[in-house]
Amino acid sequence: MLLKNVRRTLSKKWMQLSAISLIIFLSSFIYTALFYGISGIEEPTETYLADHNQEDFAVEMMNRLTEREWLEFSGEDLEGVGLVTLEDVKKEDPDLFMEIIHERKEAFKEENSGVELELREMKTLYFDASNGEHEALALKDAASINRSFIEDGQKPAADDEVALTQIYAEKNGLAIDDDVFLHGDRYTISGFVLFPDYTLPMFDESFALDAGKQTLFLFTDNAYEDLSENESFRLAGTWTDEEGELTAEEEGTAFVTHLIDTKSNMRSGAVYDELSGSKAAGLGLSLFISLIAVIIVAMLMQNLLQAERGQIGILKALGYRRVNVALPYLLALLPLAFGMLVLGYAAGYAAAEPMKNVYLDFYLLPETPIGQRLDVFLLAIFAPFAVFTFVSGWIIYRILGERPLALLNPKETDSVNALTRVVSKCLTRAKGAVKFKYLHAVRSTGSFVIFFLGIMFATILILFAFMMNGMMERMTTEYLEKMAYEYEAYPEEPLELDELPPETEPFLVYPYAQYEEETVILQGIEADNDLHHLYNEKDENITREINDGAVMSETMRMKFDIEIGDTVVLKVNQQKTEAEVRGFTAEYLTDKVYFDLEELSLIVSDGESTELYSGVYSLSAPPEDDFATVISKQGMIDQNESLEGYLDVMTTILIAGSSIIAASIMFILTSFTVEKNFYAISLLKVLGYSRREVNGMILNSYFVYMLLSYVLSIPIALAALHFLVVFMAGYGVVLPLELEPVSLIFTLMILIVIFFISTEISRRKIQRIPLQEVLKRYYE
Amino acid sequence: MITVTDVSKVYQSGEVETHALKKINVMIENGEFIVILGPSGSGKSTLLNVISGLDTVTEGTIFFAETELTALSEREMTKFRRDHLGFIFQQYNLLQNLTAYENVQIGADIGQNPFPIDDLLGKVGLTKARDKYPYQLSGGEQLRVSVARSLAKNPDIIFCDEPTGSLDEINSKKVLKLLQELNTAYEKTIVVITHNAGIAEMADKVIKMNSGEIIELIYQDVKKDAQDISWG
Repeated sequence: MLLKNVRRTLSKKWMQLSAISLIIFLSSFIYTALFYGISGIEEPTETYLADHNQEDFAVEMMNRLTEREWLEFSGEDLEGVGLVTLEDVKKEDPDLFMEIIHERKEAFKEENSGVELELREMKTLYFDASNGEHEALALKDAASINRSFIEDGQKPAADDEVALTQIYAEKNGLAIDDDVFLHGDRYTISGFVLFPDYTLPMFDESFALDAGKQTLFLFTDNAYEDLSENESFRLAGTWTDEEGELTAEEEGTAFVTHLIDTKSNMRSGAVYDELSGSKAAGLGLSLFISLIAVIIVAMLMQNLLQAERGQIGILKALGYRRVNVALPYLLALLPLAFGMLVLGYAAGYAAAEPMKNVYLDFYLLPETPIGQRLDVFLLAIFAPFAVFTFVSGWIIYRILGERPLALLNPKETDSVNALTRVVSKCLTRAKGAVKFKYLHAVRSTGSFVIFFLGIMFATILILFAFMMNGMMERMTTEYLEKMAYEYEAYPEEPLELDELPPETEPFLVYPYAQYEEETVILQGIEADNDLHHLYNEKDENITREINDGAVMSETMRMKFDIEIGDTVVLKVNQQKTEAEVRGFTAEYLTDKVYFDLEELSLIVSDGESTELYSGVYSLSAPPEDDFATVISKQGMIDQNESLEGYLDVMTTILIAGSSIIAASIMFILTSFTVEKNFYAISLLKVLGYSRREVNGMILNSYFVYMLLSYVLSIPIALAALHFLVVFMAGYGVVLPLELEPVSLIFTLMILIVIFFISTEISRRKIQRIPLQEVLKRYYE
Repeated sequence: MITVTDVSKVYQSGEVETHALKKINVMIENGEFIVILGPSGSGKSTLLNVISGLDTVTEGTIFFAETELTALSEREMTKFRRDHLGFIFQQYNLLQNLTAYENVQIGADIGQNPFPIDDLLGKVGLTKARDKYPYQLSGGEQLRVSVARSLAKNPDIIFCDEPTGSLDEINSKKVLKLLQELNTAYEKTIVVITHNAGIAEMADKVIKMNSGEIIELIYQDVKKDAQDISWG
């Protein structure tokens, strides 16, 4: 009977209970979905990376010979001036190439003991597919470090076979035994391959991560060598002894341009931080929401019991024991909490698979089905349930501890909190209505805290979403879209400048320069070129500035705190070159320094030539016979746009998700407030306060409080953003996150809309409170 | 000033109809001290509710001077209460997180010609308690705050619902004395509902009710001082 009565009471609060249920559901859902989604990748990934010997570090090296190598091997068949690259050597004399590599490995091992090294050979291919230009990185099969992993099918056995990534095949409707065409040559897919040093499809400095337009290729060694594309090399390393500190300071290791440990390497190691970070974020987020749920459940329980204290008093007076009285309340609420936790767990488990697939859209990792785990089940359901039970039990126990006679009388307020006194003092000269408005807002510390947390949570996520919005565009496509060229192409054999096709403009890229121990790219273009202008953040054309010095990318300004007018010292081929900084281009992907083409040619050739170049920009596709690699600008834009699409979806999810949580919190708290102020509202109406005034006094304090919470949340959001930027900078990625003032206005507008929608029901409730209530037994 | 004509009030609860007021006719003149007397369930609270606009009538009319209160919209009735009516309740109904001063200020702020709050607090003997919160005041002090609040906006009529219901005799008489002063010194019309027949001795007019009807209307030329009324 008692249970029936409690249920009847609760059924009148179905909207509040629904909102609380949603929050309880989310606490379990977020934890389960993220944990299973991530562990569904983490465990097979750990096994895969260990079994296939993922590199512990990578030794990025100069593609041209060092002075020492030049002197050592100049007696061999190396003639000519300008850039003699490892690639040239390999083509001319493979044995000599292997000898140079052997020398490099030995020199490195001499300086760094306890390491094992293996050459990594790769070629980047661009090819036309049905939906535009695609990019592939062909990796030569390794013997020991970074061994390929065949997920399905088998390794290519014949020269017309290729293995590629499964996600690429799925996104392009390809299956094993299907054919793919590369520059007119047919290859049959023999299997699906993964490489431990490419857990992200990051093939270059660009941030394109579209696994549907980018893939890894594994050919037979013969087929690989026959590919005409430019080739690049690095050394992959593992520790044979205990991990130590790597150096490359001796003369013998002058070929080293960059040493990068796997966990700091975006292409291979970002997955580690992604997994641990997501797990921590999942746990943190669900704990945060659980905390909100616990406080709200406690408030609901408190309100419910205070409203029923007279009835509880009668039961106690009649001789009912505490447990008899407490049980119906616990039985009415706890099964609901338990049910929502189980539902959250089930939904989280169901969402884990698509969530895992979102990861696998970006990360090139093996996939295994997700299995349920007892510890996750217990943590997602029983941990929060135990807390709910404890908190509810404690509140019931406290109230039941009162004497029956005390329970029969309304609860008398016997204190006001310190905040009330402070605010009261601050408002000495204010009107009564204003005092009432703000004093009742600060009356409950629990409501105060929870409201602030809710607004802060929503503000951070919505601001993040706005800042992220357009970030990828700024990082990638915005810069590309400003360029007049349509193609960039790299010649198979060096052509004389006067042999270049019409409507092309040469450029020179030297990717191994160093600035403050960091590898930077030098690029030479003509100051009066038509196809590749340089634009600063104000969108001003600053191309001609390279006549008088260097123009750097914004990334360098942000990373190294360089200003216009500074003189920078760059290291090129062990030689130092000084340049005055004349401007910054709005590029955010690479550390790049632009010079005049002739000037850079002189720098990299030690003053020998003004005519070096490595590629051309063009308005139309240059002939493939002359150019080993032709990259379409539109293709690059397309690759980046798919990532922008993901970010747009993420932005929407962030805004919608945080809005729902914020709206639930606002609704619950304002409806609690209306219930708690039932008699005060009736009194205000009787005194002659209008509906608008009463609404204002009861709910508008929350509005002002929302504004205050919002303002306080802005620096917190910015601090969190700064943390993200620093975190990404650890990977050498500069995030051009921008807080545009308009984002602050939009965020505020969203919060205001959420506020008015979520408080509308409370406004109606206020309207329905009858005037005669004030004549009844009054309590607060 | 207030003319109640043929007012009935019927409460419907499921299929059960309760006739709380049956064809009530009464007039309340400016400056009168009225006591509505009757046992529980006699309809006195309902009569106060409908006269003061806290509840609607089922039939009949109520006029305040030329204004028909029973025809006013909710908004107009709120404005009317704001400008003309004050209330004192048995349970004081003080706002717990406001001090005595602030509680009175809530009443004063909506008046067109309010009394100075500190003067009022002095009048009810609470100058020293102005910054105290309700939980720090005795029952009598809380009621005096409630009286000050009702008076603060300088209303024409003050309705009192069992104002001494929670007080002992001494405190009750202090409060009644205060009401009497409001009536005589400030010429406020006072309407008190009570089941305590002793209070009726202070009134100009006593409306005795039972079962939703006025059973007797007594006009008193001689009124007793609050301190002199019989109690109990």
